[in-house]
Amino acid sequence: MSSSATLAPATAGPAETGSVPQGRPRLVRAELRKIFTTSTWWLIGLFILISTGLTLLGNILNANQSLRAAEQMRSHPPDFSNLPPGQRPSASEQQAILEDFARRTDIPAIVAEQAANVFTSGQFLGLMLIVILGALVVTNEFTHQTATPTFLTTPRRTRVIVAKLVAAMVLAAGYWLLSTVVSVGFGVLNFSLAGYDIPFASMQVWRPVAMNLLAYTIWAVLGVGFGVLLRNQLGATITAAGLYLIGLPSALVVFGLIHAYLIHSDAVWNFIVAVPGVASLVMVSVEPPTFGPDQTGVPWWVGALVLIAYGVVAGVIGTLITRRRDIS
Amino acid sequence: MDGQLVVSNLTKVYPKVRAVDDLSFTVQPGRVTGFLGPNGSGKTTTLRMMLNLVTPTAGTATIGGVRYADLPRPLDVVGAVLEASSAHKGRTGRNHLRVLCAAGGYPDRRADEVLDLVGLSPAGGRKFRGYSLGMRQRLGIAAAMIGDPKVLILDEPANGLDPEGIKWMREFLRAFASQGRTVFVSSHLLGEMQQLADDVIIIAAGRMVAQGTVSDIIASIAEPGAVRVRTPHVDQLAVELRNYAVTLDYPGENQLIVRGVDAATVGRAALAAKAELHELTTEAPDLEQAFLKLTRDKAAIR
Ligand SMILES: Nc1ncnc2c1ncn2[C@@H]1O[C@H](COP(=O)(O)OP(=O)(O)OP(=O)(O)O)[C@@H](O)[C@H]1O
Ligand SMILES: [Mg+2]
Repeated sequence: MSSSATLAPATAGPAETGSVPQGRPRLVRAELRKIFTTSTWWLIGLFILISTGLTLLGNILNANQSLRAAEQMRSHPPDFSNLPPGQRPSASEQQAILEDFARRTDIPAIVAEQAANVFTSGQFLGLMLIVILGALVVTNEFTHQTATPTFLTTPRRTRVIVAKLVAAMVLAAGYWLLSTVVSVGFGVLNFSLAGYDIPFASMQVWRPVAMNLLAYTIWAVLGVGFGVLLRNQLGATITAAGLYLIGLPSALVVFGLIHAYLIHSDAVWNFIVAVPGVASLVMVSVEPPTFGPDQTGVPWWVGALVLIAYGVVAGVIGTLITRRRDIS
Repeated sequence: MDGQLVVSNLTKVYPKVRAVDDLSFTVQPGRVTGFLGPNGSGKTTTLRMMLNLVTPTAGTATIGGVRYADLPRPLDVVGAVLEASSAHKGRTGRNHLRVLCAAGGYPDRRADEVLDLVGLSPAGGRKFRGYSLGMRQRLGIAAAMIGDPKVLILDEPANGLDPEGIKWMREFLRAFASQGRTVFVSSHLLGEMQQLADDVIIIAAGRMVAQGTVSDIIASIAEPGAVRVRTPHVDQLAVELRNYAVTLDYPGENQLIVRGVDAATVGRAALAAKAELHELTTEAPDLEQAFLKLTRDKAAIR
């Protein structure tokens, strides 16, 4: 290191801006650069690949199994003619049995449903990694005390948080793309090797994939919210991942208790969609999933709205807290 | 816009302590102003309030008449090196600066220019984790220089620097101030401050204690310096000096330090005591003495 104390000549001032982006995009760029100049991005990418791969394998095996079962069933249609006339179901009962049979052996429909499931293989563990990523985008600043230079450079803190939210969503979209390309690639390969046509024109296949993108971006926002609330890196990541993982099982227990002791109506089960983890599950499902007996299930768009609401609340709370907080 | 810093009635109350208590001062451009105070006296809190990192309970701080939060391009105006101006351990120094360049709207090459400016170019590609304390301080200064600012605000920048690093820092800050720019620097190193600063502001327990040029502050304590005497007749001289209101120290064989009277009086006493003198010098009072006297009884950690 040299020990000369020469200052930059006045002409070397950085006043000129040229092609340097101004305004908010530059803050998003800075946030993305923060991620890409540490090992975070490829570690998360690696975990997403691994978790997508493992889930994908399971989902493909499951899809093939279901299709094989349906094919087998189809080769044994119900035959009422062998039954002795006294035991034959009535005409209307026969009609119902045949309809049920047709539904269970509707191979194109099964392919569509299974394809949607395979194409969203990256979801379950992927969302956990994304919520961790969102938390890291904030907690890194406090763990490494970079909040000081960050807010010195941009004293308008709302802009910093907005940039972090946008950057986290952009990254989440990137990881969704990675996971989706792998899932769709291997999925299409599998179905076509097995000789099935995927109904690519059907929204049934693509809506879950698109909703999965929405889920990725919103969980990134939720992660940022967690990071702001719990500045401690380990605390924020473990809490966020933990709440995500135990969200569904604990919600099932809680709603089971409510149903058993407080409100006996089966409709109460529908409100389980208020749990963020359940909401994202509902959002990507082809058929509305049901959680209790005898109820209609929650349509996908309710899940989407619930998750968006959580994202907005997390973003607003995060911004308000950051604006007030002392950085010392 | 000039680079004058104005702090008015700045106050910060934490639940258990008044960290900064109704503090007002101005810092002039073209000079180096030292910011002194015992541990916990509120220096860091004051600097952080000036930079919009900590919200004041009351009062304001402006830079060239504008609050930091209202500066459209703050790095063009103020460069700050704070104790905790840290970087991500796993990021290289150059990338740390590039992140700031991106956020501030400066071209990436500015990162290399400021690395060069602080002599850190060879280590620019290494991760922050492996930086020595001195390298970290230099990276902090590099970050502060990205916008070629008019004002530098530094919190104990000499921390962890070796003697050569301290000399480098002193020359750097002096050169910066000599271009008509403002330097406001907190420190504990009083000897260093005496060499570096033109003006000083001394606080204790969050309140202003003294403010002025270094020489005025030293003169203001109006205490004659200690007189150092070397004589083979220490005992005779000590007996004679009992006639005066003095305090005596015996730092070594044949040595005496006399406080309370000037050198002429000591010489007269020696003549009366028939003591042979080998040395008679007045130790000039320095900033350290002034600081200790001014902050006496207020220095306890709160
Ligand atoms: N975030 C905080 N919460 C509560 N008290 C605080 C906080 N930050 C500082 N303090 C208190 O405010 C007082 C002033 O602290 P400050 O760090 O400003 O002192 P300082 O002059 O910089 O000290 P030093 O010379 O040791 O760096 C101290 O009593 C400190 O304990
Ligand atoms: Mg301090």
